[in-house]
Amino acid sequence: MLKKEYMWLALMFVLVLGTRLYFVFQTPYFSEDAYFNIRQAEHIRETGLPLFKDDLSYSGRNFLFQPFFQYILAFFNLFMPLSLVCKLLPNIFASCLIFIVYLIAKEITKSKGAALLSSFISGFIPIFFAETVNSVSVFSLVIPLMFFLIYLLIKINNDKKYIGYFIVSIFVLALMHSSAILLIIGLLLYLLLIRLEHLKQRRAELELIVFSTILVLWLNFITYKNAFLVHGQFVIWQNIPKELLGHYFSQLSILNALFYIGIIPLVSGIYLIYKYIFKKKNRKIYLLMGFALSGLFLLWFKLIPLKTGLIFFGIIFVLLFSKFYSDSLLFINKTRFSRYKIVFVALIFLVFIFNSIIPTISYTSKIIRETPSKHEIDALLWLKNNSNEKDVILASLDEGCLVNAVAERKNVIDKNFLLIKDAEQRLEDVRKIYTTHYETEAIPLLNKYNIKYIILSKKSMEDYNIVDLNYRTDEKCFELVYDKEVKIYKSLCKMEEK
Amino acid sequence: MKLTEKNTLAYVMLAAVIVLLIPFLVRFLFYNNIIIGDEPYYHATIARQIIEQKSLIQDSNYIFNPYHLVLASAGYFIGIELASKLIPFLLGLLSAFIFYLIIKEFKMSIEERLFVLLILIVSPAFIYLSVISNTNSVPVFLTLLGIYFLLKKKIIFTVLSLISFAAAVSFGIFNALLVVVLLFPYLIKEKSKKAIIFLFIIIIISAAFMPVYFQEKTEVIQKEGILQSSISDFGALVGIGVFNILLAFIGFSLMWKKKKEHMFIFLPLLIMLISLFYLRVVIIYLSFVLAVFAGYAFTKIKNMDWEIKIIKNLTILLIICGLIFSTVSYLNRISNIQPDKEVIKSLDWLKHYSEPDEIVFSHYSKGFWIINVAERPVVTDKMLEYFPNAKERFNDSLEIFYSRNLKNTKLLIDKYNITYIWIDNEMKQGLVWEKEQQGLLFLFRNNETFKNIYNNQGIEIWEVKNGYN
Repeated sequence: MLKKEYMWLALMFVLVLGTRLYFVFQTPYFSEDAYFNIRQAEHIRETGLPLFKDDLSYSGRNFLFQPFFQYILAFFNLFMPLSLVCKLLPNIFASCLIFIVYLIAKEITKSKGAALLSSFISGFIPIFFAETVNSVSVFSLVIPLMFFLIYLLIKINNDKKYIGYFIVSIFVLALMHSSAILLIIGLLLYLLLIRLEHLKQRRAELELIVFSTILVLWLNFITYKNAFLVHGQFVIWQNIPKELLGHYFSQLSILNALFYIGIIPLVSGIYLIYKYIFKKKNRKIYLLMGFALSGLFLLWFKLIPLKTGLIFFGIIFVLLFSKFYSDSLLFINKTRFSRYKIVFVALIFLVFIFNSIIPTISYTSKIIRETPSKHEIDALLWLKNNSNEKDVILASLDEGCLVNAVAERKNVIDKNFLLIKDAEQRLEDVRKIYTTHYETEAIPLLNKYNIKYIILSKKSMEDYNIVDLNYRTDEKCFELVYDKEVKIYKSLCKMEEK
Repeated sequence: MKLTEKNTLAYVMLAAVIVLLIPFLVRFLFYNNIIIGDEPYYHATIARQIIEQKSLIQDSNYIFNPYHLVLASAGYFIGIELASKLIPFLLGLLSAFIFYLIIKEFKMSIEERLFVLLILIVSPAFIYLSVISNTNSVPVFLTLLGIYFLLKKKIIFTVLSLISFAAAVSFGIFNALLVVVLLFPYLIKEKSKKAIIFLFIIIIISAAFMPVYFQEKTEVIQKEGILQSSISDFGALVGIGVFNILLAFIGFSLMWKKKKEHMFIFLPLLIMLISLFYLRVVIIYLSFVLAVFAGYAFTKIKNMDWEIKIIKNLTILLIICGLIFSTVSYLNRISNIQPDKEVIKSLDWLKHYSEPDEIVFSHYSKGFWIINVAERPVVTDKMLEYFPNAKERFNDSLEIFYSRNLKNTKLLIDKYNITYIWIDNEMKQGLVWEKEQQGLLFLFRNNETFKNIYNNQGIEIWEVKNGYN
């Protein structure tokens, strides 16, 4: 018969996955960011190779990325439709986090109850839930894998059979996303904490950390070598234009952290860090603290995007919470309030519902609402059927990938700025085309990028704070070829320079 | 296979020959054996003038460097082109050889020596030193020779060391500083009159060269950041690979434990790191020091008692791959940098088309090619900063490149008596212009002023119709 905790875990997995699938199937479409991975997976399925040289994005550019995740999507696409793969697979991966959190928490606390509670909380970390639910995000697999590696590192000290799993997992992680560097920094900080606290450095652990550091650095270096040559150290900020940099790499604030991570994990995590720095010593807690400090350090210096840092932070704090919870129960057991233990548990659960589940639901609902509407997709499909293959389509920054993936046409700009030398200029030019009052300003810019069609969606109107193109009245130059909730203008004029 | 004194040195020298021959082979096979880069063209031009005039250059804008005398002397017998390739190549090999002997004197094991030398040989800065005709190959060799002789006890070697150091000092302020710093640990160790006299002589010689060291210079060309100009993987032409630095860092922390023993290396390292902020060629000297740290670290990692054997093998494999990756990518880059056949063909064409006193305008980075191959004067080249009116010249050249005002451009063209404008793909693709029809590219449409006389493979030569021709 299955053990009781496995039943609970299975139940939690079904609940978390079920909630995710409830949200994800509310729309047949995906968040804008998802379309890059979808295109890559399609290309891999058709050719066996990722699309490193793309004729559509920025009207022709090279991509730099680690394609392992897209290969996984393409592999499952052999058995089921890609849209279903992209809806299901990332959510299954992300939901698996609860098993990993359970395993780590059990190792830390030796308490099944604390492990079960924290694994349940990990299923509803607002930022992780919302950001991986409908965006076919690589983080849906990267994050569970990172924590699986942490678990393996804990276990290696007792059993050498985990070494093989560790090597395979670190290879997979390094081939999947550059954020593996976050793990490396965490591991190095862990080594530092061990040394500072005069704990014995375990040989096997040290060797694995050295190996992982070299592997991750090298693979990232190979992947992003050209970007280093073009952008130098600014590659860290992915060549994001200054205007947008503040949006992606924004400052960490307490309010942000409270909302995206949840109050219980955050407060208990901070308390535990304090306790294990000044009062107690625990190797496993130092491992988690290393990661918390690496996240904090990178966020503080704006070296990682805020959302990535908060996702990472959120899970670490849930794990720290498990220790806090088990320690608190032990403490309560020793006092005369032990018979009210259930009240303490209920209270924590209640705060968790208010502070994690409700923000998760509201944040995810917002994300789902922001998914491209049927009108937008129809407009893009109209373009696919009614425009020439070589035509360039102007859409807002967020919609750039949609133009490539749905309309299968060239765009002027999208969110992948790496290797784009004139990203700032393009961003400024696109803004000008949408907002200028003068066609004498718009037409040279439209000519500059050979733009044939301009999409005016609800999203672009909101982004640029306009209700229509200001210079649309000149019908000789701007023909309204699609007029529904989304408008599409055809650019007809050329401006000769004297 | 057991490593012995003889076979280790033989392997190292063989590896050096193979690595250093690759760029020459690529140039021979695919680039008509054209010399790599732009700096060698400058030195070749000066050396040619010295041979022709049979005396030093008298031009007030000329910055003296003893390398030109070395190149001219060798060029007199074997031709300047061959000398430009042979001198750095041979001096690179000799430097590696002497360096091997030096670290042997410091009681490094054969295995350590092997790894130190292999890491040095594959380092991009060493490849640059040995492949491209540059002013550092001679002083690096002389400094190493000086150190080697200094480590020998006999008086004859001390004299030879003094001569080597004195010669090295003539190459620049950094060389003088380095020699003095290298002598300090020796002075502390020996505590003899001989050492004090030695140091005193070097300081006197350095002082005598002061007027040569300090040339008036106006900073007009924007410098790259320290990372981009010193790490080859970030695009530096004279740089060090990331893995080399990583290993060196490990080696440094291991050697730091015995810092008194290794004072000979820590003191020059400190001076080099400080100087690096002011003088980027220091990276060449630094590559030797970092090779010692990196080789030491690699040996330690290899001989360490690892608990997990597979991790040991994988880690060593990764380090080797990392080092080789930087080298292969650098070799590929350096072998394929400009000028190519088309550039030389266009300049050769210009040489035959134009008159010797007609001035050519181009980007300052193309100046040495035009002067050397087309044998025509230019408005700007990379020595521009030493010109008395550097800022004005530089700003005027920018005005010519970017202005769309024909009248202004014509005025500047007249000011510098420009007859030809030479442009290539690199200039059109970001070096000067980002867009088509930008600045001068737009003005070229005015066929009353400009006439396109050459257009092949993206290289264009425009003649100024109403210029001073």
